[in-house]
Amino acid sequence: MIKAENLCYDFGQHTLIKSVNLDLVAGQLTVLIGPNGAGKTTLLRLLTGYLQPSSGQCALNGRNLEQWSSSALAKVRAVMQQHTQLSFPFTVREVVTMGAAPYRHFDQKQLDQIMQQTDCDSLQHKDYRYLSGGEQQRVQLARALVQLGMTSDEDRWLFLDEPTSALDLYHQQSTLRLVKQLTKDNHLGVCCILHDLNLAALYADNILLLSGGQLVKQGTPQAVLTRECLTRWYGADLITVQHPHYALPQIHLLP
Amino acid sequence: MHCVKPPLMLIGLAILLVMLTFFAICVGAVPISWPLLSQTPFNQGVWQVLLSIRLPRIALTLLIGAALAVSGAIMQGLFRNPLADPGLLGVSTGASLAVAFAIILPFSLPAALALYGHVFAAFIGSLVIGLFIFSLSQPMHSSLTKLLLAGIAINALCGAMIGIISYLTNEQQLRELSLWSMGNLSHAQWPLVIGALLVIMPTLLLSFTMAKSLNLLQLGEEEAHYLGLNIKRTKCALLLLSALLIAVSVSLTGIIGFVGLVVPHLIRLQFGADHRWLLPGSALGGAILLLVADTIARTIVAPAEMPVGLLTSLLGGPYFLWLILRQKG
Repeated sequence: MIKAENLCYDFGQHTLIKSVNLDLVAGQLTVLIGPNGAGKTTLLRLLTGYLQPSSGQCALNGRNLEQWSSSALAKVRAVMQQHTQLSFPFTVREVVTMGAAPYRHFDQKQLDQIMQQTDCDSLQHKDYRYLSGGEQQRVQLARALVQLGMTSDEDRWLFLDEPTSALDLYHQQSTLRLVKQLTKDNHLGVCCILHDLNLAALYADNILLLSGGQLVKQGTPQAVLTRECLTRWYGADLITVQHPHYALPQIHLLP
Repeated sequence: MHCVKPPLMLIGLAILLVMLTFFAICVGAVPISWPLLSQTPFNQGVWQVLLSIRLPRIALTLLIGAALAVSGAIMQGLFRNPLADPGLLGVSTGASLAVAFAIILPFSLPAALALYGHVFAAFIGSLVIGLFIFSLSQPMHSSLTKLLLAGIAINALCGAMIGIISYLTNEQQLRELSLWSMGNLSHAQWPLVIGALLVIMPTLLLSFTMAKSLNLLQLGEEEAHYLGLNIKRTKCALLLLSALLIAVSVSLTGIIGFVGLVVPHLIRLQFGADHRWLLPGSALGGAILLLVADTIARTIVAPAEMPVGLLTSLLGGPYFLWLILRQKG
């Protein structure tokens, strides 16, 4: 469980995150949404321990983030950033293998399996720098999964910052299906920033809506993705309808 | 992507280095060969040339070549930029400035140390700049970009001061300074070589142990942090190692350009980017390039000598250009 209490973050004179309280539960896919500049990435960095909060605290698996050593934390928490660029000719396999850095030994078979799950095995020997943005995202997801794949006795946490922003329809679906399935099979909690609200509606167990650095609404997709709420916080002209096959909201913009 | 496995290539480079070393021992102003050595009584004639001139010089060449190339590889990895080189942070310019001071200042060292005057000056100069850069990197959240810009400022400042000093020097001093700055391995003597060995070898071995951290750093500092790397400590260690290597090299041989920039690049083209192979590969490659350049430098206009720094660029430049142009995509 990740528990944030009264989390605040100031940068210079600006307050980027204002007293956020939240609980993340393992076995759930939590989606973080919000308009541009709402502080989604900053909140993610506070929850992962990259930034230290100005006030308030955040605990992971019952222990305050400041008390974790970075190497111990690396075994239970992995992060995939929006873009990761390399300057040198590493192969895809080399990049994915970097996920095993926190461990002494790593399991080749498990690595192969993760490469397959993320549809990276055909890219193995290619130069990472020359992949498309979507392929790079899949490789980074594979790397993050390798990082978490080796521990089993503790709750593990995967943080994704817009993992689907450069993916085509097929890979958006397969990535989110994979992540969702992982939360069912293992004791894995996922916290994911998504811009596409319709995707969020399809896969999220829990949605957090962030605006101006504050958590303004949280709950199930049905509770958060309402016309009234989205119009208020996003300021966009839209309607919500029910998905034809599922009891889930879908959002349509008006022309 | 790589047709030959890196371990094999590493062995290949090592064999090439050994062969070139034997070749380099034989050629020079006084040619040396086995028959000649066996006919001469020990410690006379060619034996003396071999033991007190040729061998220390070749040993120093190999050490400095390796140090320059590995220092460059560390800089490129640390700054995640293939264009970074050991001179980037101003360490070698700092050394030049100190040597310029040493040349114009009227006081002189005791006779026993007079030979090493420039070595001391350069070492102190590079150490001062190295420590200054290091102290800049200490505060929290100091970015690498800031360090890079500071390096540019230091380079410009030291360069201007060298200019002022050059303006004040007489012809003789000016020539001395400009020859020093072209790089020279000719004053290799066993005490210097052993000193260099004692600093360079441990530093090289330590830097090889940082290879995995350098790999992770390539993902970006934030990502490397998430993978459990202590970013601050890693950056400090890498900076220190690289500055130490360049300080020793510059103080013993003056400024030898190009090796630090190009060798890691050449090795990367063949070995791939994994620093576990790149660092030892660069050490061997740097030793080879400098050995070849120095052997030519001391034979081509024998019994006089060319500054080796000119030759590294003359040799490396066209080859490097050819490799870049040949590359597709």
